[in-house]
Amino acid sequence: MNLEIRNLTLFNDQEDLIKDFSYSFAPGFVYFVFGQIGLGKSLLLESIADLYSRYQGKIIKDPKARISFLFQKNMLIPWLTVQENLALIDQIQNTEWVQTLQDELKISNLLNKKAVDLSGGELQKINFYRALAIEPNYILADEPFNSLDFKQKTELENLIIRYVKQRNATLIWVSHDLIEINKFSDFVLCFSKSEKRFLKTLAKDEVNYQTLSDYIVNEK
Amino acid sequence: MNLLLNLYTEHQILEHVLSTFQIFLSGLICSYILSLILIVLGLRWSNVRKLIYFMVGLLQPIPRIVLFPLLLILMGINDIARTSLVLVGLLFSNYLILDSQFNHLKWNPLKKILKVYKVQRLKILYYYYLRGALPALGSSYKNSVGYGLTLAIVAESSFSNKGLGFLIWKFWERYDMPELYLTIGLVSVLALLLNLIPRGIKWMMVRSI
Repeated sequence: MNLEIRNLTLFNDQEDLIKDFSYSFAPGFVYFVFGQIGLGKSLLLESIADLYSRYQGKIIKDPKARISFLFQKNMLIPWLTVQENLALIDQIQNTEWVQTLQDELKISNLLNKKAVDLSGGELQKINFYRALAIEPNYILADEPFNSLDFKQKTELENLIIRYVKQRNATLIWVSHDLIEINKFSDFVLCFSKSEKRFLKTLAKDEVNYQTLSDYIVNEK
Repeated sequence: MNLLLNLYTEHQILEHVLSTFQIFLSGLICSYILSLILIVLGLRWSNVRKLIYFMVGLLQPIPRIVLFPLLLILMGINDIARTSLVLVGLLFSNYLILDSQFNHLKWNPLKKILKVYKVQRLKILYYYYLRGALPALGSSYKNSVGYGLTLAIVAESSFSNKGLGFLIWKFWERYDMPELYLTIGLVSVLALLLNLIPRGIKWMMVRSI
């Protein structure tokens, strides 16, 4: 089922952010949300995940759909072990997929460690594992790979794209990284901070460094 | 050694230790229960929290010991009045320490992840709130041991015929100095043992699911 957003206007304490945004996200595609800092991109993702409620408009999604969220920051409870962090989530079952994912990410040796003892890269790996282990229909990613080195980042990026294509999931990804956008996007949603609105969608064949950098330079 | 035996046989020291321990523990548990009730109310309604903080600010400077005669008048000369003195003495400090930790946990961005992945309420309560509050619980408990025991002993030193406070006062009046020193030593041992309890609790709670 498509994820539908109808006439969405986001607010924060001081001002309106994105105004009157409507869009339909289809399964099996990678959507990048692109625009300046402070226009409400993260809040848009949080609204879809029911973490933020200060908006008008409608967000329509499959009620049975599983949503996972990859945050910028480490989101493991530091006083619990990795295993305990994962055991909190009933949606993670001991399936073949979970085992494959564990092997692919090589995290078996981290399971008994306390989250507070993990490095930044290890934490991101576990966050990533948790996000995919629930076999989500919608994946919301808010600059999730910032603390990783190039090799780790490429591995995880390839894995998530493969998941989206094979499982027909929807990935909505906030990023400022032109290489990432250029490489993985099916669609890029461009927002204007000055006009506080959604400007246009760039399809895969329209996305290139020149278009994206022109868009950044011309945006007031 | 003879002195210790004498304390055990002639003065029934064990009964007095248990009496002090009972007053301290009852006061402490009541202070935690009341603190948790106030914390839950404060987290639910921010105006209630503001009111509680205002009251704490107003009443905190009053030395608790001076309230003891008032408690005796209100509740009678009994263990309830003594327990209440411990409760009143520990309530505000325990409330403040635990409330700041629970409030920090409530507004922590980590909570978002619990909501996204639909973690059950009971699991959130135990693994997030209770385990997350363990350090604060430990430090509030350690504070409470020293101050709570002092209050329990003070409460037992007047209008009482049992407890370590009563015994210390009795030895002082009779100038039984060796017994006095030994009883004070026992109070220190009791405090030391009470200080070890959080380690046991931590060990029990911090085990894998």
